[in-house]
Amino acid sequence: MKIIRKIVSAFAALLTATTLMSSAATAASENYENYSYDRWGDAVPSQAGYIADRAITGEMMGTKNLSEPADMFISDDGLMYIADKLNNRIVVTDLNFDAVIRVYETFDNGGETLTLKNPQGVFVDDYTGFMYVCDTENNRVIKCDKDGKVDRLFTKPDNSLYGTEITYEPFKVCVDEMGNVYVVARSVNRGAIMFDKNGEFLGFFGANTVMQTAEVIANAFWNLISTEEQMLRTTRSVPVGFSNFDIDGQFIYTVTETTGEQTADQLKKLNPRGDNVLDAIDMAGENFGDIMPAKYNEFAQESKMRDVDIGDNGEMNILDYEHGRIHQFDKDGYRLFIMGGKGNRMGTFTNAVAIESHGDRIYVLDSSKNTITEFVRTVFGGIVTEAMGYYNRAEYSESKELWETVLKYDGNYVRAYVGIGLAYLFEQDYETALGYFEIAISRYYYNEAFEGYRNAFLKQHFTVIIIVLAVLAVGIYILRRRLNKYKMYERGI
Amino acid sequence: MLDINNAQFVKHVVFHPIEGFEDLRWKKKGSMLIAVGIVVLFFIQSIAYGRLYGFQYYVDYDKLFNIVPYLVQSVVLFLIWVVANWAMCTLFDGEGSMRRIFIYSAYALLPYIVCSLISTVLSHILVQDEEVFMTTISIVGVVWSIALMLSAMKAVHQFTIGKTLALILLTFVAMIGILFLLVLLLTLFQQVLIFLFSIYTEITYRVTM
Repeated sequence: MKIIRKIVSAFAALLTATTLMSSAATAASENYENYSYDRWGDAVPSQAGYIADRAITGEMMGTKNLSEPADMFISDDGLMYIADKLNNRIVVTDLNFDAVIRVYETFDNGGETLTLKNPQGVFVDDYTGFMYVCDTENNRVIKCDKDGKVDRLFTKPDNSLYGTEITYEPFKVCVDEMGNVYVVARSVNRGAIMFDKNGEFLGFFGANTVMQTAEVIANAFWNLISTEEQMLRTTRSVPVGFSNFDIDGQFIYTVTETTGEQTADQLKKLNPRGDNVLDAIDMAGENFGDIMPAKYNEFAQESKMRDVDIGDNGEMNILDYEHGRIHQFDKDGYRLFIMGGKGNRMGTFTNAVAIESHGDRIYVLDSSKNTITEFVRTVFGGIVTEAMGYYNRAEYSESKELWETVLKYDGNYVRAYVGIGLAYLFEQDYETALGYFEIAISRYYYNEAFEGYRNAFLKQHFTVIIIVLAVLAVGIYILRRRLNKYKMYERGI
Repeated sequence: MLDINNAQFVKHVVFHPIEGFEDLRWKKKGSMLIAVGIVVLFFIQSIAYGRLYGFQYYVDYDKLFNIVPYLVQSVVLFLIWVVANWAMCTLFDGEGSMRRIFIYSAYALLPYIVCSLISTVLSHILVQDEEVFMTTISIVGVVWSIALMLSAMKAVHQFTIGKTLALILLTFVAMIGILFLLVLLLTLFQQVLIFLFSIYTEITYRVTM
């Protein structure tokens, strides 16, 4: 009897141990693949930088459920503003999501009461505290204070530059430090509509370009010889208007749902002049989405970018609604993490529309599940972020040790090789730096390290090089003289 | 005059683009061995250009190495050029034999091969800002080789310049034709193989049933 009890208890212990282990394993794994791209652009398994923690519904916040929410914004004081599209309201909650702080349904415009109709964008100016709401179907942007008192309305510009035949359906809004208001409107492809703080129309900002693909050139040729009726039927070669943007300091980041071969403007980082600064570091035209798109029914599904958000360290989170994925890049456009996927489980999305980040958390809004999914940074993600912090302050040597830890977690992590390489470059150990940049395939930095390496080499071996050159010159001279004498001798001179 | 051996004649031909090949023609010189050597060098150059380029300029997908594209780009292309040129020259009453066309064309390629090898070596010494030197050297090589090739075709067939240009143009057309036929042949043979294999599978099924 005792033996049997012993066996049973041992068996039970074993069983608990295995279940514990397997539950630990499931806790660590997500409902999607964690991957990254290696230096050749092939997908490789990777460590998770963020994991989905919970999904929040409207009821959990203590209000009625969201209905096709379209946008959200987190202000510096840690409040989240949600544009609840079909409920025609703006919901404000703190980041614990246990109680709604305020719901804006009406706005007071000097006595007149304004209601919203399908609002699709919300923004809060952290400098002045004013809230901007894209009242899309009412064709206006409302600027109001915290009490819902309207300060100004941004309606369709009455300006020949804007054009009378173009509609004005604003769906995203941003405000820079100067108080200039940037509005993205549906079917406006000349860039963001720019107002000054008094509501004066200034012009357009940061228009996309049309890439000269074979189709575009062919269309231009056919348009020369075809009738007007035929021209209506050909595809038009016009730039795509961008789908969303975010502002961080002086830079405006835009994302565009690129289609087919028009991939140039997927992600842009624009300075106040409207130039894409990602150009300067060899990153323009880079594929910021999935390099090898998933193929279903033989049609490749290209990444389509819906939203962009800039984190505390300047990292760019961009949201690809086609695959339901979040791609995170550092401020120079190097890949950090990929997370999310398509589906109905935790951490996957059916129609992801907006992304925001705050501290070590990333929030994604799904407009058909009507939830906000909260991603939390993992230990691995924390190390990368800490290293990025040093990197951004140009303390490369301090970040070296952290990057080496990152490589212990994930030897495929390309960004770590760049980080270590930069540290060696900074310490003027060019030869080691060259090795790291070669692993990372970072031609831009490799070139810099190579220049340093070459200069150091020339400086160090200057005398030797000069002596070798001199000896060679003299040797060749003597040899030629000997040869000439020999030839003359042969010819009998 | 010009009592020089075959190896010295290569130098003479390369540095005298106008009359070099005519001299080669009237001295009835030109070594097949050297010509084959140059074609092999051409093959090596195409690999070096694709694989050994300086990292700051060009990064190749180096997970796998397939020799066939390099072979097609250099040796096969050269052979097709020779065959097409020979086929076309018979229509124009050209004097060149296949052997001579091979030798003269190979000699004419030399500047291009050497210049692009030099630029491959330079790509390990220069940084991105100094790329203009390499581009210059490559362009010089290409232009030099084109000039030599015109002169070579003119000498080997004893043509006028106009006729030579027409011949080269027609050679390109013939090359495209030959390549098309080659690809067609390959695909058809593939089809035949698949057909035979399916018959084999069918029979084995019947036999084992």
